[in-house]
Amino acid sequence: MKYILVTISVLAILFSCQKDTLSTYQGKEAIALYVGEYEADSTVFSFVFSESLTGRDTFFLKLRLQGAPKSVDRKVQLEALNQSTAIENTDFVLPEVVLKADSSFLLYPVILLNTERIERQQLTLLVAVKENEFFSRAALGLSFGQVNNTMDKSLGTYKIHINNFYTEPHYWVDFQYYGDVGEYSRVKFQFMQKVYEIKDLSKLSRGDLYNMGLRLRKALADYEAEHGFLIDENNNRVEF
Amino acid sequence: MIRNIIKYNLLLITILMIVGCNKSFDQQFSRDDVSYFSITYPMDTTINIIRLDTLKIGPTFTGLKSSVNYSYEWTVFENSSSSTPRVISRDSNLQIKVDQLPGKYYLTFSVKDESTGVKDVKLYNLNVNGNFYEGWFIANNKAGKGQLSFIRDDGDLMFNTLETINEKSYPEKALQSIVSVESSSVQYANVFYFTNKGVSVFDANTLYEKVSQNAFFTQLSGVQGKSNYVVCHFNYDQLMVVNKELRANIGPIMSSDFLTTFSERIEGDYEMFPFAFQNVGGMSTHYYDNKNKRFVTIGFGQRELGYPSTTTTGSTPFKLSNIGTTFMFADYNSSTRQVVITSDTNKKYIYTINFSGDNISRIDAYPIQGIASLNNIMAFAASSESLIGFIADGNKIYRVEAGTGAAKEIYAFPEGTEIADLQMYKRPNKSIGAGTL
Repeated sequence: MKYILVTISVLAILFSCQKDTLSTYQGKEAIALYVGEYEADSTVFSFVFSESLTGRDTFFLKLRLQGAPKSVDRKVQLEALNQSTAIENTDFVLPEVVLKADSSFLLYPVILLNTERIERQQLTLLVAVKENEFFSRAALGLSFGQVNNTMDKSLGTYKIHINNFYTEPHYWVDFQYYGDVGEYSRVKFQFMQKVYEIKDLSKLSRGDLYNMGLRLRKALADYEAEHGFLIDENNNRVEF
Repeated sequence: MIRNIIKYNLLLITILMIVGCNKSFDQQFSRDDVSYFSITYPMDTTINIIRLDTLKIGPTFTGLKSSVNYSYEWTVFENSSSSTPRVISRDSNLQIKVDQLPGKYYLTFSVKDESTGVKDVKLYNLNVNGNFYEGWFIANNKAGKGQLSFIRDDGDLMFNTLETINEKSYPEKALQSIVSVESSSVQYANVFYFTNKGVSVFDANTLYEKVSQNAFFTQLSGVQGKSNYVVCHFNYDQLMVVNKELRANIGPIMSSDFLTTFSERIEGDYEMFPFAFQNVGGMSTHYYDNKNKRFVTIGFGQRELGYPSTTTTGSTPFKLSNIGTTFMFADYNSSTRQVVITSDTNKKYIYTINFSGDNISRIDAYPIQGIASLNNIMAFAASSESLIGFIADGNKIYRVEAGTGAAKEIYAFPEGTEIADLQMYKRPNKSIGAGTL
């Protein structure tokens, strides 16, 4: 009886051995929307910060290939999802572009259109990769071991809020830290745009940030000498 | 049983040992002494050369045999770990036009015995300088038009460098030039050229224009009098005094693109004397306010003045908030000490300002004695070797002891000559240059 048990056990162990099979993926390549490790999955695009004079501006989204590059050009397009409140060809255009042969990355141009209705309300555009004969939507998540050890994130969708009115920009805290600019107001921000002669103040250099307080106080003193106090939309005197 | 196991094991070990034995290959080789040879010139050294000049080196050797075939190789690589050597010659005698950009490089020379592969290698420092590597920049005017001239260490004299090199006219009246070279960032060596209309900046190695006139300021109607420019606070800040106004900007450590618009005038009630008092390498810089006769400070990254009020030690105690004299000229004596010529109602003084950390800790002040007039002081320079200064008064140069105020005439130009500037040659700092009108 003992020998039977031992024999069965040994046979069972031996039969459990099995050559492992290597599975490989077969199917279409995929395209992923992706952002950097510390970048958000959405943005606010306001035409009040846009230098464009044509009523349209372009916001670029990063796309990358999941799969092997090929030696032919392949079409890529994004599509707006149903949750979007912006209307295609009225508020935005999502063109068909080409992923060049042998390349893995692409900056996709989302064309945004300036209309009267975004002066009062903010519209939302939720985009995703449009599946076509070349590509499906990619797997999501972090990618490891990229160039420069960045950990980019592949996203399923990306949200763009479109408006044409002033809101406190996310970099206002930097202005408060370096330039002692105080609380945000639209009139204050517009005054700064005039002083620096640019609309998108996020493009100010580090030197500009350090020198901001002195520059704004001097400009405001010059303004007040000519026009009197500058009063903002909340009826407060603008000060820096 | 146990006996049998031992017996069979011993037999097995013996068989394994026999099988493991292997006939060794024949070690039949002969020994020959490898001839000893080496490079005897040049030995460890630093080679300085001006860019685009021809570098000629005729090395010497010891132990080379005429019967042996040797190969030679000269390589150059940058003074950084990521650099790869570039072969510039395979001749024994080097003769090559140096086309590297100004900077610090390594040069290697190797000689190899082709029959044995034995090699001797020597490593040298190679400093490639621009045309203007050492000498005197002189902002001057000819027929009412400014020019920046250069007297090079080797005696070469270039008169109108800016126009020749930039193929552009600089018609403004020249006031001053300031060369800024930070030892930790020599690649940022710049010449600041001040004219009656503004300030422009040129690369100190090539004199190519980097910043055109007035790109530095949001508003500047013109420049009057002496100006001052320093990179300070561990390259964190740049500070400039123009028209008695102090302005600031981020330094090269913050951004390689630092020659950008300076700040507006740092706020406050002052007329700044154009000289930065500092413990070189410290995190705070002092300026002297000739309006309120006091010292003020500006810390690293700051865009506002501080007002120190401590009392110093020294020949006479001074309250930094009330020094009570007018500063006329100043120069560096050491990294922690500056020497100043000041003027009171009827007397001129020589002050020594000593730093301890970021603070002025000691001031010594003595009336200057031994100079008859002292009404026409045009220039001043301090030694950086001992505590003395040199004053140009009319056509004469006087040596002044900063520790006593005693002055003595050391040179006189012909009567009627007027000395316009005095500069101490700080490296080595044993000579003094005087420019006359």
